[in-house]
Amino acid sequence: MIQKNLRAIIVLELLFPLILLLFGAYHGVLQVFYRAGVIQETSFLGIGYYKGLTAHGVINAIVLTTFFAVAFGHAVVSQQLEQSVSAAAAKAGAALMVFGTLVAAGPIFAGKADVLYTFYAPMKAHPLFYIGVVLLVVGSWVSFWGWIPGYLRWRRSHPGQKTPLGAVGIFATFIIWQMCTLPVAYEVLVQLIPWSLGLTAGVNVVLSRLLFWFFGHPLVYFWLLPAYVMYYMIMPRLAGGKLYSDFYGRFVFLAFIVLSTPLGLHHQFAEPAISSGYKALHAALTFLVAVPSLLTAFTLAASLEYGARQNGGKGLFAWWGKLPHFDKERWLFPYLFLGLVIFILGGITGIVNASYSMNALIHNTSWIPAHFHLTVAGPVFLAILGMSLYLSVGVLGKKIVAPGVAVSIPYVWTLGVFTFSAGLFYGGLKGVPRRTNLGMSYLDELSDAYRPDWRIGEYIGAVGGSIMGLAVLLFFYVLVRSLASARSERQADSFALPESEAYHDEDVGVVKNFRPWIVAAVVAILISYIPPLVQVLGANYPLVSE
Amino acid sequence: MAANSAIPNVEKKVLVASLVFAAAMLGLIAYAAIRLGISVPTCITNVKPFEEGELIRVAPGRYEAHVVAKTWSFKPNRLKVERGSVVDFYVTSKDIVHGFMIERTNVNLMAIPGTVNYAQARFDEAGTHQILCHEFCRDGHDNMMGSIEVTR
Amino acid sequence: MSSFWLMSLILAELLPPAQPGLVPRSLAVLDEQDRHQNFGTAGRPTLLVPIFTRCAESCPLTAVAVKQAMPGPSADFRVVLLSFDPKDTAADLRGFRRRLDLPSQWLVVRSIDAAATRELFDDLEFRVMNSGGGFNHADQTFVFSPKGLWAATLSGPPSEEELSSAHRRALAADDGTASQRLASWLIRPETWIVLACAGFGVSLAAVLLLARRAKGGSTAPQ
Repeated sequence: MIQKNLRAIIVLELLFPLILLLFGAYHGVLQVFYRAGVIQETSFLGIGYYKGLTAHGVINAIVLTTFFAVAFGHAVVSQQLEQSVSAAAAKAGAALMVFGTLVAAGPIFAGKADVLYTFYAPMKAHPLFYIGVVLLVVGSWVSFWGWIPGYLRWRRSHPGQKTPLGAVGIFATFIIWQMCTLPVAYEVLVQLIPWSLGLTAGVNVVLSRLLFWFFGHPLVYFWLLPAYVMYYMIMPRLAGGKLYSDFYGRFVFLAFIVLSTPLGLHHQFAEPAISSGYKALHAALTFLVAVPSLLTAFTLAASLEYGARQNGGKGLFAWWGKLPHFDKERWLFPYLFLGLVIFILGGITGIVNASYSMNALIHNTSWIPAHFHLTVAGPVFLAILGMSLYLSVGVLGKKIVAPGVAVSIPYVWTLGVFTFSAGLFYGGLKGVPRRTNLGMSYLDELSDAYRPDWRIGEYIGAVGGSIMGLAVLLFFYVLVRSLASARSERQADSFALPESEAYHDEDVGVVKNFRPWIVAAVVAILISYIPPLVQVLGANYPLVSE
Repeated sequence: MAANSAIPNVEKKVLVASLVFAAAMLGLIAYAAIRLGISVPTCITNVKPFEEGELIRVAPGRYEAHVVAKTWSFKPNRLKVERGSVVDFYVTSKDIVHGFMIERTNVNLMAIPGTVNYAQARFDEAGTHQILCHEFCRDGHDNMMGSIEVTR
Repeated sequence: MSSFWLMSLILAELLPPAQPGLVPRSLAVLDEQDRHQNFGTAGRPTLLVPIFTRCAESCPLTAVAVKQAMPGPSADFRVVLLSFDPKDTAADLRGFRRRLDLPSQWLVVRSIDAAATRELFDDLEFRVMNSGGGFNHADQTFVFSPKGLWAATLSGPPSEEELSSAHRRALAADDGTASQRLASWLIRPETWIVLACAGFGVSLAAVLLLARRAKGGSTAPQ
């Protein structure tokens, strides 16, 4: 059961970013048309390509994901740790997050923060953009801190017992978040905001990039781990089965704490100022972080098999059909299952990106957005959509209207995102750049730079993007109609997130404590980041401004 | 079911298989880096960012390209070398971060103000390779490009 | 702790390069009297110092440092100063030798094939860049064995200890023992890949082992 005094906050934190998502998704669809050369302008209906691109990245990849992680965290932690969440902290956190988002949105929509969601120095944005982002992040910290006293109380009153797996996953998510937001907080508070306010002459660009990507990779695990919580905690139950191994679930979450951060240099392979040796070390560690995901694939497949065979599944492969793929009662299942299917390709292409020298083929080409739309816009986005619907409707005691449409949305989305990414992977290998309004030059027949061979990839991307837009429209249809349906207080009170039992429920000591894993994480970070930091600081790069 | 028992064998096998897979991939990368010399850009400390871009002919078939990226152009932006030439590319930026990518080669670099980046390419076939900026650098970014023409 | 770090960095520089047995291609060079010289084997360890005569900083410093460090066991080195500046003439070479008062046994030569010189430098991973009329280049000296195998790279003006160590490496490079070959693989930064992977693999295996031991036990809550 979800804490009563958190319900309004959870609903706010789910719906506020979804309202912004209307614009974020709208511009996503527009982007594929700009890039296909259908729109050959710098702006459309008053919104510039790069302004829209900034909003698309910030809303979809920072605002939506952060709000959702907090809201879902409130639900899981309050349900599994006996209603012990501090409502005061939750309210303060929500206020900071909403206020911060609005503060940052102002400059973005006023065109004073066309810096994309990576805000690379020395491109300067209006100070309110940075300040808004800081407030959003601090708000998420405060929400996290509100869970800690309750957790410690729960541990004291249940000595020797395993903390419920969902809560472990949420805490792992936010431990990673707390650690990795520190370097970017330094970058923004110490380097960027004073410079943006005119108090300093410039920024040490190399250092700012090192700090940003110190944050930027664990960020993707902050996005991903709430979905993993759903896969481990909820999906086996939905499939009518059990989680194959409780130990592996815990091990994976704790391994992510250690392995998510000490490998950010793989985003910086093409940069000068950092030795290839350190980049190689980070490449190696990136291969290691693939291991928990491979273990997850195994555990989840085994869990699904258990459930399918309970429901009469037979044979070596035929049992896959005995899962609730189109079940209107268990409409949440395909959001999770298809997310995993998409993630297979997302993970494989991620391994390509991490492969050190192979980076030269794909760095900053359209291969990159193709990859991350199979990860953040694959499992993460589907989990967010599905759970936002599930949780908001459940907490408000409403009913899902049009469950048939609800169950079809992930299929439409999957078709769309695979089509989109296929086009952009193909184009990327031919050299199509990312972050570029192609319709202005490379896909403008009248331009000297016209590249007819780049058309096909972008046309396929446009088809895919349109299908993705359709899926989002269907989602809002179901969401709005369901939220408008009649409310039942009794249903709201009895709503709870499904929790799976475990088939193998071993009691293994080393995964019952966060502390050794946090210590290992800190050690790993020191080993992997102190040498490049020393190298960058020792080279005394000049302060640069625009 | 099966509470308080050791980890099932199949889970250990999966862990080992995953580690072997990761190690195998890494081994291939290490082989490429060490034996075939295919690597990533590294830190160059003895070179200060230069102000002027130019293509220098060191010897027949051997060039140095000093490229300055600036909003929104590369200097020099039209390079011409003969077939079989080896070119050392040194890239810097005069203002913000730009990208420098030469299609159909392994040259894919970030041009960061205050630093110099380096890559080497060998041009064995006649033709023209597009050079383009692939890191957002505001309005004119989509027209920031150049070319390297490889003559017969 | 920091001196350990420093020592390992120095040692890393003196370890053989990761392409054992690399014999630099022979280069056609002219000496100060414009006579052809052969940059081939000498039966002694060779120290190759890339220079250009207009160099105001690193080249003279390194040459002088080598000169001062030379008496002693490392006097066995054949020292070759190779100018890669196409504009250097025989007179410039003579002037360079005079200015720095270099020993007469040292060879001061210049290359006449710029492309081949650059290829040699590519093999040695020595980067030269034209800059403002002169050159930017790494401050490095290359050590070759009596048979002409590339044995080590020195960074910066070498000290007596570094030269002695380099001399030993040069002699050892011709032996090519198995442990030599292993050492030459280990120094490459890219080789850290395997070590890091192995290290973490070991620690993950240790976690599993710990997990195996902790059957049924429970740790106290934090």
